Amino acid sequence: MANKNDEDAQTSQPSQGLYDRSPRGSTVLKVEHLVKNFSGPTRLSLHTSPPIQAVSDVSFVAHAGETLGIVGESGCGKTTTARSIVQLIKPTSGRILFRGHDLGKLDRVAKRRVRQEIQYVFQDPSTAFNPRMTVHDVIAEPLRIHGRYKQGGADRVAELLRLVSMEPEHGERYPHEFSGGQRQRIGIVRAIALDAQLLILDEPVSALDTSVQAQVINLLKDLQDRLDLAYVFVAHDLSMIRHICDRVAVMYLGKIVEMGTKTEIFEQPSHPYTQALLSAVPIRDPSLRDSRERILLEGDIPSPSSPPSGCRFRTRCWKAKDICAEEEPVLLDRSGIGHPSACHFATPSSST
Amino acid sequence: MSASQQDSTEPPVVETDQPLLSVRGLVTEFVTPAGIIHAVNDVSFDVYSGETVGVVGESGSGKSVAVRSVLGLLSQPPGRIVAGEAVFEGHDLLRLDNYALSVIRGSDIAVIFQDPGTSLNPVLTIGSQISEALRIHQDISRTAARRRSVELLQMVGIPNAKARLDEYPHQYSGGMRQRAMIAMAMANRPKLLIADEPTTALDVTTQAQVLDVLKLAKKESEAATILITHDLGLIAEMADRVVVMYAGRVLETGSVFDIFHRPRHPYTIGLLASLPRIDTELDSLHSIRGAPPTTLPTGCAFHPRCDLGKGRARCAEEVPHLNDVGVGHRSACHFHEEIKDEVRAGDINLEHR
Repeated sequence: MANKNDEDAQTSQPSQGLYDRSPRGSTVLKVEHLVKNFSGPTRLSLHTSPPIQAVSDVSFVAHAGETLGIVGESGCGKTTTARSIVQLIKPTSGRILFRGHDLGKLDRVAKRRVRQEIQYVFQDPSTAFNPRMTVHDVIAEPLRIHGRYKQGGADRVAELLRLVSMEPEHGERYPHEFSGGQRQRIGIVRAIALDAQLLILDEPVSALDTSVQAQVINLLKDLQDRLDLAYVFVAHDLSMIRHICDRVAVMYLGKIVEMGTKTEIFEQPSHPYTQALLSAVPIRDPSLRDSRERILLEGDIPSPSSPPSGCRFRTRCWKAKDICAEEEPVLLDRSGIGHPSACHFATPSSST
Repeated sequence: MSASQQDSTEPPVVETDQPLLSVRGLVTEFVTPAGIIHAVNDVSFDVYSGETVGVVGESGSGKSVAVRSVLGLLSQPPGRIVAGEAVFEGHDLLRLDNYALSVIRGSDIAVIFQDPGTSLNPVLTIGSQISEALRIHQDISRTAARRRSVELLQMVGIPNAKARLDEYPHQYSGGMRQRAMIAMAMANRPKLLIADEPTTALDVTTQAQVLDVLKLAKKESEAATILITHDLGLIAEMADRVVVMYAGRVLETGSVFDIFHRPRHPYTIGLLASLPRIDTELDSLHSIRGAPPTTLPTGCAFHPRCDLGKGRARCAEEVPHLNDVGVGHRSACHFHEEIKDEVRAGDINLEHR
């Protein structure tokens, strides 16, 4: 795995041709200062409410063969970030570099090529497919769109179905004939039908029954090992994040408040929000329930259309001082613990 | 509850006196154009005063339907209670008429539903809804009801409760709405509180706030609680005893320590091993093959997915009864004796696929 701080050398120039596969550990995705504001509702054109600052200056990288987790509560901007990467949402400002190429500046041909390499897996597999297409056609559709079905496309679909323990005959059935877990696995093999190098996984298991989540997670891990895929895994389930991710970015109100390897985030969280978040997750062991210290946050998440000045978390933070309202803490390693945290008073604690 | 709970010195489950609620042999079906759906099949459980019983299961396991049947909240048709009894303080709830039930519901038995956004009336203020709950069941004046409503909102930690009493549900955040629901449920000091996925719609930090309020409310009122959830973490955190449901049946029941430390049903074991943990890193997750059934299999409901049964004929033919496997611990598995002591959550001895 490449060190998270020395990716610059690899991404500054578009050295790799789009047709090569990225070697494991190399930087596949680089998000730079991503900002997305949604304009607020207008009331009779007399009054325009301020824009909703869904994502404010978010930067991170993702490496081949590695999973970056983006975790946060509803409204923190994690899904907006994910959708911006695949250009489903046009960023207000900032750059998305895929293997060194700025996605905002690609011409039509290059865009088509890139779309074969970045794929998005949606939360709810029952709404992600056309219900009138057979599963074979669902998986074949990306191949057909890119003119690659005629040469061995049917074999490719059969091969992909086998990956999820299905026979080619199952391709003749319709999505509703499959269970939620099977549908999500079909969604994942559809995503890798072309030459995917980067998968954006938006809450891929949260709509599934508990007993089938592991099937999907195990499939994702298996595919990553085999194909050196880079994953951006967006989720609110911290236990799942810990299991599948190599590195984690914690978001709050449109900003990354802390970023590090999963061990750093889960063993030594230094931002008060991360600490509160981790302490709030119930542990699946009844003998630990009275021994844990739980940090209860005051109040609710502020409105993203008028976020607090300075640190956005300060209104709910027990460490907040005057400086927190005046100066926005940048994401950097203040306490010398090896991973960055956007808190003036960042101190690591062993949380879990 | 003592802070130093060891496996060996668990608090004894008090089963000496009469249960507050005793459900026996409950069978509930839904009649649909596509046929009869067997939602709840011969479900029995008890709830004793002061304890929290966690009912855990996946979607479609019948956990909500079972509890709604008991409360008379099942829409009939399409629902149909075929058999069973649910004795609460000497009355069989399944045989009470609507009026008698409505006297008990909201006073002796209170319910907190999953989504406070839909269970609060959007056109009435929070205060009037709490007062309504009070005045239906108690003979008190408007002013007294209002005073009590403020107290209740304060108890559940709504800041500036007096002013917020006159606000409408949409002015409350999700966490506050759920707290208002708890306030309403506690209004008439219920003996039994039923919480149906009370925090599923909430974010994790809000969930922690609401759970804290729920614990406090429970302590104040000493009410017994039935906590219905799919979240095993919540169960580990809150429950004293656990009922594990699958495909409309109870597969295992026991103290929370039995279920998490000494599970005796392949489904419970598999489920525990299939979930990642926040506090440790697991190499791989155990994957239970297949999916929860849509039609009830013959024999043991779990047999098509079971690694322990391995296709043995008995599993497909004979419905296993709940066998005693320990004190207050029962498992509905024909081969529960083959499950060894060293089987622990995350350390599964069952054969991996």
